[in-house]
Amino acid sequence: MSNRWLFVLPLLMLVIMAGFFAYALTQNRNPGDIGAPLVGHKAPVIELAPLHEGGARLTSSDWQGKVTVVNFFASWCAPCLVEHPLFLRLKSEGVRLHGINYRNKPEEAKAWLARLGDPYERIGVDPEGKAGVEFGISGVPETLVIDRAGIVRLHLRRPITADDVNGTILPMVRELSK
Amino acid sequence: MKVLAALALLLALIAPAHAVDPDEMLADRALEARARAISAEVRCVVCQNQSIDDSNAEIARDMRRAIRERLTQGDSDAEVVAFLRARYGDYVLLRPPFDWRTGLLWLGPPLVLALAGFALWRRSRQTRLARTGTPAAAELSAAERARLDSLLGDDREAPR
Repeated sequence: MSNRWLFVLPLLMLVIMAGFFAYALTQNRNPGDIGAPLVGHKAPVIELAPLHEGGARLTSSDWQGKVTVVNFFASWCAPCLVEHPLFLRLKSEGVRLHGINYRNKPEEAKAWLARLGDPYERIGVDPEGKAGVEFGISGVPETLVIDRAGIVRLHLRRPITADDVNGTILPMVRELSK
Repeated sequence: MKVLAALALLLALIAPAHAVDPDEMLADRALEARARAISAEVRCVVCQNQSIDDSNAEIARDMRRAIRERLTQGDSDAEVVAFLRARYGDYVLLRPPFDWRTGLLWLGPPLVLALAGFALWRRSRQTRLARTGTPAAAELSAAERARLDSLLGDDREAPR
């Protein structure tokens, strides 16, 4: 009785494994994805020295009252170069945008911004990655949208794309600004 | 003697090298020990399967420093882990928590083992019964006994 069932067992295992593989391959399942646990929670409290001499410090109060996009960037980061024009566009759309210069020599960051344009309202420097850990950053670039109450609404752990700007970030900023 | 010395030197060389820089370490040895224990359980977020205690990645160093800062400020071990978990999720825990999403992961192997054990036990019981003969087979009905006797009797009385 039970012996007959044993013959079905390998087939059953094959079906289960094939099902799992099909799921893993088709559903964009990525085990390396850290996720965005900060979303829905208050943005961390930070206070960073300004990149530009005479500039204002970047603190948590800089995203109070208005929807803010915060971007971690560095001049040594190639994907940051790719996404940079999109931040210039966000600025032209009137979005409040702050930058956090991550593990970067200030003079190199300033030269980079002078060459490409500076879209940021304020830039805080994070030479030792402390603000990075506070925001749960795993690398650069990463971008967050913080609402008027200081709650993180979006956390992208990759360079933003034109689709992100048109389909997610701009609609989200408009919706949250209502 | 020389061979022993060479062996000792070799052993000293293969002792595990840790990523923690001496200048990262805390002067308070108890706090440092707690920081090391926490770091060994925290997964580096840019290396696939390495603790931040083992990793030389910059982000791992940043996280080790954050752990030490929080411990120095008087946080408990659980609070330090909660701090990292709030920012990096369950991804940073080398030992996944036990909840409904990971239940199958944790319970699957013991469950399969228990099922296999049960199957083996049933199988061995069946073969043992088959070998010793079931109690029902030992008891013959009167008719069966008579038929068996007559068959055996026929055999005995058969002419050579």
